[in-house]
Amino acid sequence: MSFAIETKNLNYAYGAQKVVNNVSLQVPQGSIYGFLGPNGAGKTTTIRLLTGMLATDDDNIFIHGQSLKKNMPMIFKTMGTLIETPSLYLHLSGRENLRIIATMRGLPYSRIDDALATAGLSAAAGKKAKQYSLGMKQRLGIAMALLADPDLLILDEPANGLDPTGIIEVRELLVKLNRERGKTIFVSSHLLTEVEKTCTHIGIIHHGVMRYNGTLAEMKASAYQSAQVIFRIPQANSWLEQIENRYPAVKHQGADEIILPANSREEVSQINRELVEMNVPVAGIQLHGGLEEWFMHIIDQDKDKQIV
Amino acid sequence: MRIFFATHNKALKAEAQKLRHSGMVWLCLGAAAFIPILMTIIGFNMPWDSPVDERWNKVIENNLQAFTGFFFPLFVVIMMVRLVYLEHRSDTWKLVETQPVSKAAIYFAKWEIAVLISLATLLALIIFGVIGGYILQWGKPSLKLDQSSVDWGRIARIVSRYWVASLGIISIQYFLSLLMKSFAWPMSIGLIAIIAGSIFTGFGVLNWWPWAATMYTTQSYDGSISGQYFMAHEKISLLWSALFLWLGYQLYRRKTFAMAFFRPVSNLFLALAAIGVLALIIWTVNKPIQLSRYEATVIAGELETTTPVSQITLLRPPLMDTVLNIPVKDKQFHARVNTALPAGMYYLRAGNNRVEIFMGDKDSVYVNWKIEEKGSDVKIAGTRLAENAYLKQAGGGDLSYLVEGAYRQTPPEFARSVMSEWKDGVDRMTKFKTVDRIRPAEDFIALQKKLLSMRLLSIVNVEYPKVHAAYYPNEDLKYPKSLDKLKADGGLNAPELASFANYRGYVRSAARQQAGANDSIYFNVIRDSVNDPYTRDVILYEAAQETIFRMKDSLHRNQTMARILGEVRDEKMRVKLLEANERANNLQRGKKAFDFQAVSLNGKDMRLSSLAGKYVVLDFWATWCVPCKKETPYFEEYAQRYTSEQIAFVSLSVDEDKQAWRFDANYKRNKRVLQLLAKDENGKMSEAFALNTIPRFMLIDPKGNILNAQMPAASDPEFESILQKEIPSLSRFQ
Repeated sequence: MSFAIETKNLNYAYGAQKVVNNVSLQVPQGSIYGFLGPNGAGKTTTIRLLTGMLATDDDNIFIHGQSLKKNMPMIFKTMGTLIETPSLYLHLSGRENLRIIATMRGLPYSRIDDALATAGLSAAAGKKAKQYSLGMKQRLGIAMALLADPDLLILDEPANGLDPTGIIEVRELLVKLNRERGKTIFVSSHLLTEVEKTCTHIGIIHHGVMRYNGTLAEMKASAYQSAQVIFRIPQANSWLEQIENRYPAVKHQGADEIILPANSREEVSQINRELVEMNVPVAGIQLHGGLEEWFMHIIDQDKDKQIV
Repeated sequence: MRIFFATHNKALKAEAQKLRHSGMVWLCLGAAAFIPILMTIIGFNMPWDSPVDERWNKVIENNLQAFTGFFFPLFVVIMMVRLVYLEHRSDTWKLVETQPVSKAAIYFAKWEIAVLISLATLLALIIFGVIGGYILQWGKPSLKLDQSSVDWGRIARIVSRYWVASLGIISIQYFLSLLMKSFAWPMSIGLIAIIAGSIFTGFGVLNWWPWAATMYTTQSYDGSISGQYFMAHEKISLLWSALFLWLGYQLYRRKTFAMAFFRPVSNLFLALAAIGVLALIIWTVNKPIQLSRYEATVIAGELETTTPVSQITLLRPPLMDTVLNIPVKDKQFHARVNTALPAGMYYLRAGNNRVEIFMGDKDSVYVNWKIEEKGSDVKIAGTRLAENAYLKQAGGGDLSYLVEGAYRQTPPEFARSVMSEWKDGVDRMTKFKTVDRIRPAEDFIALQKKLLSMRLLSIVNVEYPKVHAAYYPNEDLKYPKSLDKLKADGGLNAPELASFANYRGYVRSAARQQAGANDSIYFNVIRDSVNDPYTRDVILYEAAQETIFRMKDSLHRNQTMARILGEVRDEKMRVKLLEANERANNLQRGKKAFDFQAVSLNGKDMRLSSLAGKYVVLDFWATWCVPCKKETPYFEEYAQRYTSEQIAFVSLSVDEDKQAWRFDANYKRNKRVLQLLAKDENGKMSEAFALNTIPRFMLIDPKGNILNAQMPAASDPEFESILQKEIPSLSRFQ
């Protein structure tokens, strides 16, 4: 399988502090890869490494199978990037900012209007970038990354600073680019829900270490592996023996609660049905765990206990 | 490399696009317009004393010099900080560096833009300067700007020099701006460095300081005298520029100072090696050089004259023996000197014009000599360039002031001022360098030191003791040991200095100080203090010349001459002395006066004999002779008072500068006086009249015979008495 981005044991340290530790990424072509991690996890440093912004002596980053180090800067022809806050020439208008990119990439200026329209900035094209709102700046940044119509987009927190509509627009834009034009999109975020809604593949980084790397489906599966269901049953003690026969994993918690593992929603309703058939008076069901819990659980682990 | 060239133009074009709305154009135009606006206002109010045909150049020059002193380096610093800050402001580095453009192209494109803006600003300054000039011409027609033109070749050259001088600042400020990532820091450092630079320039030190380069260019505005295009500090600016362009690229490429220069350690060594090599080159470029001798003794050059000259002559002073005749062809001359030529002063003569040059064996001297109506303009290059430049600027600072105030000083105090004068003098010689940083050779410095020590010794040994004896008659004069340093350099015997007129003068004045009015002792002192026979003869010869023309009585003169001829061995000098004696005797009363030739203000050729039948009162003068001009009103008053058909009052100028004479004689002088300019061919008239000094006044009778060849000055009451006594028609005024 060929990867749009592949890294082999990526390392980076600011002084003694190692911020990227043996990170091996594999971003399949045609995927939307969500690069997830809390603030300060090493996401931006990794992206800076992927875009050659930070120099290392190692040759361990491959874009479409080609060494990044050996093919800079011409490899950027196939990449569009947006790193952290958008880098704009604030004294220039949106159109002039795009024109600079077109000049540097040798693109016809006729593309600029399309790009402005895509980013919803046609009306503000002549305004200076310093008068733009944060969301407009973000959209202009994306438009600049898209101008060359590259195969691979690397976007660092593209939804940052956007209002809910803006977030939805960006999300739809990314999905559209991926589905209709087959672009590989590497997008970082600290919001699990965002990633869950758009991405096909997910990588989780924390304290510079990759904690997870896989498809969205796989992630969901493993997230529910660790999910638990709390059944509220008055005087649970009296039913415990009967339930233990059917579900050996049952745990007793307090006077009125039992806990059972459940790997999916279907399993939860199945257990509920069986308990009711056993005449157990189920007074309430509470799902404990799921994606969020799982994510929190992953990033709470010590470094040496990696999942994957 | 291939990628650099493939993407360079895109990067450069993008840099240009970034300048829109950045205020750079206004900064550039504002900086370039500010000084011309000031200079135009000043131009309306200041006195313009430069010659009319130089005025347009002066307009441009004023702008350039005022701009480049402080504003230009400041502008370069602001411009560079701004250019880099355009990227720092919202970290657009990460934008440009993720484009398919080589980093080197991005880095160098920005530098190139800065370099182009620097040039554009200088050119804009010239344009505004020209506009200012037209405004001046329109508002102040008396400036006569339309009668001169701009020497564009000269302007192009000086602009290119200023531009190169700015390159060092550009690269260093680029480096600093990349390193500090802020606006304020590189700006402040640049500003402080410029102020430091202007102080350095004021003291004429640290010419390698990059922020002082443009100011040093202003200081050496006229450029090299040895034919180099760029001055040392401009070459150094280029070197700084190259070094910091490279260091800046390392920094830019590797992002942090530590990455660029410390990791791996070999980078540190590379950077240090680069800095070391550069420091070495700068030191080499900047080191004053002493030119080495040539394989043969050569005199060459070009001669520009209004009247054609077919040959020039190399003369050896003081007798002006001909060493060599050099033919002049197509205004060029070139000759090898095959006889021995001890290092010293020589003369070149072309027609009536002479220039003094210092040279010796194995020197190749190139003389660029322009003889115009207003005099000679000489530029001497070649192996003795620095020596002749030193002589030109050193002048003859008279040290007699040391004695003038000396009565207030005790001997140790006096010795201290003498030694400090000695130290200053030696410093001047050893530290002197031309704009091209060429130092005089050691042999020349040794000669100059000896001259200085001789002058100081004559003050110490002869002049101060007299002062001391007069003010402290009861005290013995005892000098501190510190003066021994001077004495170690020897006494008055210095044959190697024989060709220096001031050496021979020192010996004579030292002898005169000792001898007082007694000529016999005077000659004895000279004879006893100079051992070298030829040098002794030469000094005795000059002493004799000076003495015999002072004597009024031919008997006394003949006796003195016999006494001197007893001392002088050199046959040629003996012959010349006898001739001089005869000339002096010929200036006696009753002898026929030399029938000089001259030209009048209306261009008419005249001779003394044209005035036959009149008493002729002659006033020898020159426009450059200040004491002569002090006598003028007195002379003119007599001309006014004694107007008569029988008396001609003649002011006979010995000027070489015909225009200067015409101006002075026409506008400033009284019309009762006949103004003539002497045609002193081959110095015959000066010789005949023993015209060693002016002012000089002479009275000649209607037959052309001398009545008095050594009249007192016109301001002396005796002058009038002589006129009244000698001219019968004036006797009634007595």
